[in-house]
Amino acid sequence: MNRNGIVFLRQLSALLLIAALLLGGSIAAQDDPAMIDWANDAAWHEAGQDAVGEASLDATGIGVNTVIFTSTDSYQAAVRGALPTEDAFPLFDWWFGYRMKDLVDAGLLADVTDIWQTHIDNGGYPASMMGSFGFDGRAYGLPKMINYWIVFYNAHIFAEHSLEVPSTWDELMAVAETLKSNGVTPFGLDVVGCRWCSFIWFEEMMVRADPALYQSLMTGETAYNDPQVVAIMEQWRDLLDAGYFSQPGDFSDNWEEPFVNGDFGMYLIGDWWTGSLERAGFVAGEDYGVFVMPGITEAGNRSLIIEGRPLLIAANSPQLDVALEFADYFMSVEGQTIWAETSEINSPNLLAPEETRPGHLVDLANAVANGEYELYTRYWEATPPQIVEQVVDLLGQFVLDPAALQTVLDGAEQIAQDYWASAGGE
Amino acid sequence: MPDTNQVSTDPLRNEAPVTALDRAPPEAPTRARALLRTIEPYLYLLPALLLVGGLLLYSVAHTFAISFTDWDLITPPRFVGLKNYIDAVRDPTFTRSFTNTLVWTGGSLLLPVAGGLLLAVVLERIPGQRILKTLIYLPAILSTTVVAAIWSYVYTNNGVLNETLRWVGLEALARPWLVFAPTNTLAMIVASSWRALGPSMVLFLVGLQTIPPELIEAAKIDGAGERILFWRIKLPLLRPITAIVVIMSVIGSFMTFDLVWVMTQGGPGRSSETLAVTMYRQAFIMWRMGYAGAVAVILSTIVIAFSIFYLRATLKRSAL
Repeated sequence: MNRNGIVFLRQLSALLLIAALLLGGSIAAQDDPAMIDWANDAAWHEAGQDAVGEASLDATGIGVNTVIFTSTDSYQAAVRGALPTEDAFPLFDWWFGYRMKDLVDAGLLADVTDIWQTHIDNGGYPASMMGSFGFDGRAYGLPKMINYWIVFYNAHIFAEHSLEVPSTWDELMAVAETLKSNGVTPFGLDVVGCRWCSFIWFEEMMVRADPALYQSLMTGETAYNDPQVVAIMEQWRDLLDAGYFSQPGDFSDNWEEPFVNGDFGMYLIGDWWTGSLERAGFVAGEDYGVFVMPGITEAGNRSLIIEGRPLLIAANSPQLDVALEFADYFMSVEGQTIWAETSEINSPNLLAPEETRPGHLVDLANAVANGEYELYTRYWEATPPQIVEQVVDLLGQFVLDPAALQTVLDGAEQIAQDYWASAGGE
Repeated sequence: MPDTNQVSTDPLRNEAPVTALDRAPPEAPTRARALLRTIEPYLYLLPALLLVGGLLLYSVAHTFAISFTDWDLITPPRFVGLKNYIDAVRDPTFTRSFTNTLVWTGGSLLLPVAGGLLLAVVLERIPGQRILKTLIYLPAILSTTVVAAIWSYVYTNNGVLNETLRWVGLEALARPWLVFAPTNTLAMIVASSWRALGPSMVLFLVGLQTIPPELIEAAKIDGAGERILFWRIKLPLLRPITAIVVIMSVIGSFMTFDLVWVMTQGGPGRSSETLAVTMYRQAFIMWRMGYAGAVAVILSTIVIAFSIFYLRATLKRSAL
């Protein structure tokens, strides 16, 4: 073969190769399902996310790649840094309420109101729930986790001292007094190993006494040192002074062990604590029970603190449409059933089978669905983080030194005023 | 015609092979070679310089630049001049963090440095020193997080420390160690020193071994006792090692973050916060990157200034 012939063969081979690659690529592209990244900082969500992703792949042709960050801080920094760009994670977990407000204000989140409305209309979610996931009637997050803050009590301790679950504030105080007089600390509270835990009783006392006041405090309409707030905080101070709480430093960021050991009788926390207790070998209905804290006032009887972990969708992601389609599947009964079965997380979808959630929480979910409770966003997310992050430290000081109540509330009010008066305040 | 590019490979010639370059006219190639020789070391250093320049110098310049801005990572940085620096200086929490950092520096000089020196001098001359040295060094192989977790349990109300105090009849001394300032900071300095003592002891031991034995012998012949030997001979000769240990301790104490973050997160009520914790909180909890950058610049300036002054003073004395 002469030289021209060899060159021709080479050129032909190259053309065929390129054509094969292009053809193969287009075939692969046709077969390749849409895969979208779903980032979060909770490793224990991984199995559930993967399972929902697989189910979604079968049902809608959209799968997910779970991206887990081991540190919350680095996760937040990575997500925030990428959100204004096209490299933003299309799906990512976040914190609801004011914790997502700056992302909403910057126009970085997709509006998911229509998806919510479809599933509310189907009877899957109570309409009141959507409000915690957005602002001004629009929703920007979907409920990946919904938790209510309730009191866990050690059933053995209650039985030993012939105590019944309290249904009024006075009964709760009587239970606390009985435990105290029998050498058992009534309530566990840790503000040393757990910095943020200082807000737990603050928000609870507020919504049990005057939920409307709590709401107006969160939006800056009421001052932290308002006489009504002071009066409620004085009630909490009296409980601290009465020795109803564990002492600072009693336990080190491990709440299960002292509760299981009966070092304290009751613990106010999110219902997600169920999983930790189960892992510690404590069985609901046998070893422990739960109740909603009774109100100090009649209005406070209907209050319930809600905590939500929203699934957010990045507005700048090139996969926005696919992410919205996946989100719709995730909200559905099918998606939520798989999610609840594989993640050990209670589905907020009311149509999901009851067996997917722990028995002792079914009644509470039904009560919420029936409108028996007014939901109030957890303090951590109910007011701007610029206020929360500083006030929790002050509240921690108050727990350590209840006599500093007025100083703490004055300091909190100064922080709130500075924020609301600044350009960031609204 | 002989190939001028051919390299001489005569095995009997015990010198570098002669190349065409060597045979070329002397003037220009000599200059080129001289130039090559001059820049050659820098070429070897180039990858490292690029790495350091890219990762360190760029970060420093970027941090310095953002310290004059208001930036929350999701909206573009906004120039605010010296506002972050002024806010930091006026912020009582910054002042408290600065004070705590100074306490950490003092504690780090006292415990790991002075303690390490004392241990090195004592262990140099007692039997069973190898086992003791190993035991003292052992905590250094633990990560800070592990050290923090261990000491958190030691310091709980019913932890090892309080139980021991009660057991030996010193119940009055038992207390919640991580709750109130300044006890919480002092308690964490002890925890940190437990880990830092070993490495500084080893450095001092190395230093002691470099002291010529003749000097010690001569001093002994002149009638010097142990005390004079230490203060007049050993300590002055340990000055270079001491400088290294002090610099490392001071820099380490100014950068104290992980132990505090794991044990108290700077609390309760920010009472045990250090400057590094303040910087982290402002950056990754409050999303005030500019303010955090200002704290980082202040922190770095203090550390660099201290290092320069201390090293200059120490080296000048060594030269004398």
